[in-house]
Amino acid sequence: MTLRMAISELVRRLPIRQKIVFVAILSSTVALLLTLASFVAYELHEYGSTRSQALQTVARVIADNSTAALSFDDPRAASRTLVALRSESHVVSACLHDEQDRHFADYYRDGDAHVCTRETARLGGLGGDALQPVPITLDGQQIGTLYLRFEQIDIAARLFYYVTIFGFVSLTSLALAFLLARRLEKVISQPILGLVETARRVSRRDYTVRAPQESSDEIGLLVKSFNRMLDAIQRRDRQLEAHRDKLDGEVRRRTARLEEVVDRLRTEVQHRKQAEERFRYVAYHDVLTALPNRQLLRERLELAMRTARRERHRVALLFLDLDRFKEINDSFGHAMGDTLLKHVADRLVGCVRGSDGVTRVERSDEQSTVSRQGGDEFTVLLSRIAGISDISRIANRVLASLREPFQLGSHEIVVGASIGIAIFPDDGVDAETLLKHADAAMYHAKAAGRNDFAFFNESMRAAALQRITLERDLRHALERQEFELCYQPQVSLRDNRIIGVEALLRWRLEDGRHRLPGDFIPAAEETGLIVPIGEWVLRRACEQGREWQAMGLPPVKIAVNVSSRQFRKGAFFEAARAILDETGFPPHLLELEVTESSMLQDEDDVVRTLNKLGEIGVGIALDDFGTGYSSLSSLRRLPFDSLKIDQSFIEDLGVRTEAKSIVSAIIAMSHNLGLTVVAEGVRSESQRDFVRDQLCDVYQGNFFATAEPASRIVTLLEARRTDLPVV
Amino acid sequence: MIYKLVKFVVWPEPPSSTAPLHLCVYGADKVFNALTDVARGQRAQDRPLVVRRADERTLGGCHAVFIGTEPRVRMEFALRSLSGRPVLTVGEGTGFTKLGGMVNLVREGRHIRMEISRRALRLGGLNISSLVLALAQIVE
Repeated sequence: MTLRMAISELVRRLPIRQKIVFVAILSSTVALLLTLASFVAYELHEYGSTRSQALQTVARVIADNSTAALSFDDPRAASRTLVALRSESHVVSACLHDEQDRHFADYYRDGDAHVCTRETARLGGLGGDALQPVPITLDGQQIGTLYLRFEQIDIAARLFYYVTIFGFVSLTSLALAFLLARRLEKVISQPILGLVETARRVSRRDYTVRAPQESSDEIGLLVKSFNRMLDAIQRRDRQLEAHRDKLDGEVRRRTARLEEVVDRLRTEVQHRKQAEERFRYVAYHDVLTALPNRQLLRERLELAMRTARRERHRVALLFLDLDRFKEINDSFGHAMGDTLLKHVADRLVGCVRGSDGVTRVERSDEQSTVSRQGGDEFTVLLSRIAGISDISRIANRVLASLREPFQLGSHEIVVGASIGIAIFPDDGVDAETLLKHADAAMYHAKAAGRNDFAFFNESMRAAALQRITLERDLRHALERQEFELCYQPQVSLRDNRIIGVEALLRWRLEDGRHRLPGDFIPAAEETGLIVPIGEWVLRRACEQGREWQAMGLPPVKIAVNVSSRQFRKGAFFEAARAILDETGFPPHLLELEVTESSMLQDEDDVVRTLNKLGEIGVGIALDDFGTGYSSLSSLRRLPFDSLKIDQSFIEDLGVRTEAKSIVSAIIAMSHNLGLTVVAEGVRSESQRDFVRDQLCDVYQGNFFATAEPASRIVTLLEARRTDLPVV
Repeated sequence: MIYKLVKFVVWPEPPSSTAPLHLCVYGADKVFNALTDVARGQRAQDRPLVVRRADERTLGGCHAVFIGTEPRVRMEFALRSLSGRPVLTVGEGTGFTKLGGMVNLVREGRHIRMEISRRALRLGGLNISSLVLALAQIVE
């Protein structure tokens, strides 16, 4: 068992070449041994039978040849015949007996004398084996008998003889087989080794190699199949390569496209970022002067205050207003005004930079920030100051710098400025308060005679406090509906009839007293409360007009004052239209009165809003004409229907000589522009007569009626309906 | 002897012949008697043997003839008449083969020796077995 396993293990381990040799030699040996065995067996058998046959033949011949000798009784001749047996070496003896089976002649191979008797011949014992006795006959008659004895063959010797020969033949055969097997092994193992080599090269991804096909047997078939497989693999490999190339190309193309897209995205992002920066810049900067705007100032101010609080030092805020900017704007136009503002900005920056040695004030400076608040208002923030003297020094330098004439084109312009100064934490601990206080100080400076600076002080603080109280009260008033409207009739100078009323706001206090608009409207404008208050006024006026209509009174226009702050909110038009829709008051009976100062700021917005209102039929009147700087020529561009001459001019009639000419000029020019002219503040008959003589269209004033509650207006209107002249 | 001899002689006849072989005795009566005793009912070469006396006329019908020596003239005559004919001539006495006889039996003590004339056999067209020739003395 173990031996067989060992052999099978050995065979399994042997290389094919040795296996082939092994098998060839094994089969040769087996074949040879089989051949030897059968040959020996056959040969031994054959040999035996052949020899006995030969002996029989010899015996027969001897017997035949002995007939004559027996017939003629000649033993000597018989002996001579028997001697011929000498050539048969294995014949031991021959006895020839006569007819009566008596001894006649004999032969002994070894020359020893033996007696041939019938018994010895038959029974043996004389050495060798006895051959069947051969009868000698002549003409059917037995005339004698031949007894032959012969030596038994030596099988062992014979075998040895065969084996010797066979061994030689076997060795030769095996050698031949070995040589043949070696050749054959090459025939078989060579292509296999070729295959192995090819496979090894293929495994190194060289698909172009092919195993050599040297035969068309099974190995040839194997090689062919292998090569076909290689063909397939190569084809597959090429396809794969082609695919991979295609994929690579695709990937490269996609990558390129992606990179392109990424580039575009990057560019886009950059653009966006730039846009954002620009937007941010725009959001935080004044477009005209490129200075930080009020928003950025506020942030800087808060930052500076935080730092100051932490480090326990002071911050100064300078609020600056140009003294004669409105005049310049009116005289030289907005473009010139803008250019002036730019120059002013440059000088301001120069001043601050000069003092602090900061190169880029606007950007990196945490010491000082020059910003534009809007209009001709600027601020200078000084984040880190040593003392009051520092502030004064800088303020003086700014004023001195701005006093220098500006060269604008061919014009040399001189402006001045007033500066208000508020200090953190002394004058306020928040940006809002500081700004307010600086602004207040600036007004003081301006009031004190311009071209100077003023520090915020206690009286200013009291005023400010008062304003804050007022602001709170206003809110309450709006909530508690403490406001009410009075109406002052506007009378046609042509037929002395009431053609309209101006709605005037009254603030009825708890104690029954009224506060006049002049007391609280500025505060309302500053705080922005003017917007809800203005809307309330408009709504109330429209409702009143609708009531009057419902009462069947003759239609009258209602004029409502609109503050510039209301226009600043772009939504005024929408609000007005909504109110008209809700109340059902006809737009053409509504007239909005706008002051000249409204036109100065955000003019485009105002113009756009007014135009839209004009389009839906609302009348627009320019209020307080003559107090501002507006030139009549600029009125052309605006959608005014009427113009109200400021009451100061009417008051002056009869007091100042030039007043008459001014009023008549205004009336004439307005008519030239197609405007209806309203004279305000007519208190006397002479005044009324003068404006009537100057062909003024409408007058308004105490001469006819003061501002009256709505109920009183009803009476006046009813009187008109009866068509009785009022006066 | 004659009777034994015919067994080894081949005549120029068809070998298939089954006709009896005629053994003749010419002259010697003693021989005829002995031969008649020995050969009675015997066969040679699968042919029955007939023993008879022969005279000058009947000699030609014999296959083998024993010719007595006495008288000499008769012997010579018989041999002369049989010369060249397929009849085996057997005699005894010196000069028999010289006179044209084929087989001469010579008594030598106990044994009888044969003298065979091959010329005579050839003339008669007879063949005699080499085994016999090996036993005999060949004369020309």
